[in-house]
Amino acid sequence: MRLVLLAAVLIVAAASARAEDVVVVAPESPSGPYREALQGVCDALGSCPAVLAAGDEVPPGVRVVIALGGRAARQPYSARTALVTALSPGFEARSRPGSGAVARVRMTFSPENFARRLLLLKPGARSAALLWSEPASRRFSEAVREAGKRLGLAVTTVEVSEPGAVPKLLRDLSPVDSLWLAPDSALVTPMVFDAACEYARSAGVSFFAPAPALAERCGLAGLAPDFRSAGLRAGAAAREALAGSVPDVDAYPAPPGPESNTEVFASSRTRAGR
Amino acid sequence: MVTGRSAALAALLVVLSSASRAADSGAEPVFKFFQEEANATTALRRAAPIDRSPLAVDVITAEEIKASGALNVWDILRFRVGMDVIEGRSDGGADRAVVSVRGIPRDSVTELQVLIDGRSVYSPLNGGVLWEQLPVQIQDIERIEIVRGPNAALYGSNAGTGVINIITRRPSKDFEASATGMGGTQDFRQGQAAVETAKQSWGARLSGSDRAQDGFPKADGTGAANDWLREQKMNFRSWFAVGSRTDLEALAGVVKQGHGVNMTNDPQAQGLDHFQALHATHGFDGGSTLEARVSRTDDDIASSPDINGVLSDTRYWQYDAEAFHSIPWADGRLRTTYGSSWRYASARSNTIFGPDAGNVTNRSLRGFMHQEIQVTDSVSLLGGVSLETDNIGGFHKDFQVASLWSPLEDQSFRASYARANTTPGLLSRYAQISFPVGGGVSGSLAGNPSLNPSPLTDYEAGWTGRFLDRAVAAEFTGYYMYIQDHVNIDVDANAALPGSVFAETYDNTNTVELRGMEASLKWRFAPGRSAYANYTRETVTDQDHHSLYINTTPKNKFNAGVDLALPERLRLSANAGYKDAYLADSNTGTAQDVIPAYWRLDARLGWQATPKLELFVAGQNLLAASRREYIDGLVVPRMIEGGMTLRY
Repeated sequence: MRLVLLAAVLIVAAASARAEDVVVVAPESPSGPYREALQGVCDALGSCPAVLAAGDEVPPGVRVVIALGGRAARQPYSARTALVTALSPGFEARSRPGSGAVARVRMTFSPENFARRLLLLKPGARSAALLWSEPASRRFSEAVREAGKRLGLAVTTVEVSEPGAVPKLLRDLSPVDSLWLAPDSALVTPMVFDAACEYARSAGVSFFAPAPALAERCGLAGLAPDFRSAGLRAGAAAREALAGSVPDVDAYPAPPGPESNTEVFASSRTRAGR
Repeated sequence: MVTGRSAALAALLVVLSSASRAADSGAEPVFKFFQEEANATTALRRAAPIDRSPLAVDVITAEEIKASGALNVWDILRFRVGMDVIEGRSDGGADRAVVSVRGIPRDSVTELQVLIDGRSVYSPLNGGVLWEQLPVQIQDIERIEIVRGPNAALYGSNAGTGVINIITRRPSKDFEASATGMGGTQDFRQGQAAVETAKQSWGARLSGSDRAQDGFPKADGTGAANDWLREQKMNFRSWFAVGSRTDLEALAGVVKQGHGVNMTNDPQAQGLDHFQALHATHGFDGGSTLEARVSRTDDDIASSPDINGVLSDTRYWQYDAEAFHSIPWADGRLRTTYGSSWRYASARSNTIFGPDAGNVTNRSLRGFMHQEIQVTDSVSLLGGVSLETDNIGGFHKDFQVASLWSPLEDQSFRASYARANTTPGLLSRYAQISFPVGGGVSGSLAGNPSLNPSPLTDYEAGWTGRFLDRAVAAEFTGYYMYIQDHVNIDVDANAALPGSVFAETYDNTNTVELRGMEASLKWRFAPGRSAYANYTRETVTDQDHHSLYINTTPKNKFNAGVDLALPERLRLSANAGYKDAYLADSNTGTAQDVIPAYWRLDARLGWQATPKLELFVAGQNLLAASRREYIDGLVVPRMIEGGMTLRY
């Protein structure tokens, strides 16, 4: 019995020590998507690490920082601290001063997975259009196009230089089977989203929204990691970093990620024809 | 009863509360999240959000440009807030339009800096911009940013009343080819084509156009004037990514023109203008970026015969080099930008600098630093200083201080104080021009070696707001500015050239004051459908009471328009503008004249017959068969043209 108690104390101590090795840097009073992602981080780590606001000093000894949001991601951290970024769609992960390791959890997923999932949701689909805007999405969209080509899916990538141009871009689009809006911070606005949604409805094409709540708004399909799964992935990356290997999720195009990184919204499957 | 009311109130609160929760649990937090992230990523090489700018900024998108049906770059600017456009046919040559921001339109608007992809196209020869000769095609323009107010701390000399940056399309499509053919009244004919391709690490675009049109009608009704135009333009833009951090760009363009000049003897002019530019961007650790740009510009204009009946040949050329480093630090709350630039501008002419002048030259060297400080989440301070020395005008410093306050989301107030200098052009320093004035006598215009830079001081405040899910954007700006040592042309017998019975020279002893307010509203009321209205009020006074300054600025201007996506893949765009009466005056024109107040309407109707084919009809100046806008004896006719675009 004493032995069991001792083991339990050691496990708890080990777990708490582990939590002190990791901190989350997030917007002050994280709400909405940040809170969902934070929940995912807690679930992945087994306990919730300390949460600091962007700008707070990171205590010495912290080995891994999980930065939620672009503001947190851009903050300088000690070179000896591994950095895991998530929920920062426009953040281009240039290496940091001192070249500390950076693992970036993208709000997109591997181009191969994306193309496969499109075909899973819409069997027989032969074409898709992908709207993107952020510089960080340029190479991703190109990689999706290449991946689609390998799978027999013609992906048209459409750069949106100005959100106001979206209706015209959509009208000019050659007929496609499905439309996807990239999770670009400059692109996901009510006006752009509603325009894309309206187009999808009127043209009878599947519209894949970049977040579950948006898919619900449009009443069509969604295909993207949700915010909690982004947090789960960030927590898992932090655990790998604690174990000594920072996952190379920063490489671009990202290597095929685990299936958990891809979310097909259950409520959307039927609408997508599944 | 009270209990009943309380219960009803409680029930209402519960309903409202649950409605609010329902909204919170839906898409709204997601939109809010993406908007927060958009604000957090302005450190990327993107235009900063308009509501984060210390000055009034108006952005014209590629879609708006296309929808406008504009044939000329100045037509795109005509209906924007704070802008004034006069379609003129200056007797002096190909300077076919006068574009000004915040007043004092004239042949050479020296206080307005114009850039194409960051490269200055301000003419060092006589100041101002020769709009017809700009080496840019409308089919290539991705965006035009109009900054109203002085920005010399960042852009250097001549960025006094504003900066217009014309940004061309960076090739990004796997492959696209397009061709447009159009024709219309005035025997207008234009063909243009472009092809672009882009891969992961490089992209290239090549475009060209050919245009011809007859001369505009003469104001006295005696037929077409001798200002016909034949013009070819070609542009090339390419980029190459070196690793993940360095981006190289090469740009080039050429404009070849032949046109008539509306003067005695019906002279013809030939122009060949070309430029080459290299642009490099490198991203460092920590998010800082280094940009460097080198460019060469060469303009050659030959006119035969000129006003004196001889062949006039004028050429100017310019070399520019600029580098700046922009460093975000302290979690992006601070951003420091510093850099320097160098310019060598030279010109030669057998007619305007005198027979023995040879090459006349100006060299300038500039260093600048700009600092942004985000004091709190809602308050930012910005400031910058530029130190510049020129052969002509000597040393001057420009500065800018501004504060931004955003007490509520999408609501932003700004206030700024700035000084920006205008440096004299080569012509105002070195001119030696004799011209006949009738009756067998001649006059002369001589440059002044003692000219100083003209400092413009500006105080302004503004507000930018967005409402209804950002579907409505509103902006208001008020300003007061004054220009000291402003350069004028005045009669001065002491400056007479041999044989002249009267003489003019440049002096800069005048002070010009400008006051104004600008208001604009844009409403995107449905996808693909928007409407706008803007109003500008400007008043100009000057110490020397030159009518050139006091009366040439229309006091009130109002513009409104719609852009409507219609059924059957039709799209209609209409822009209407009103201007108060103004006095047309010109350094090179023959007379002054009062232009009565007028309305102008431009419109375009497009039909996207198939995704690859669009048919369109467009018109300019639709409300009148012809109208006088300037004083060179020409009127601007109603223009109607139609055409088709094929895109693959």
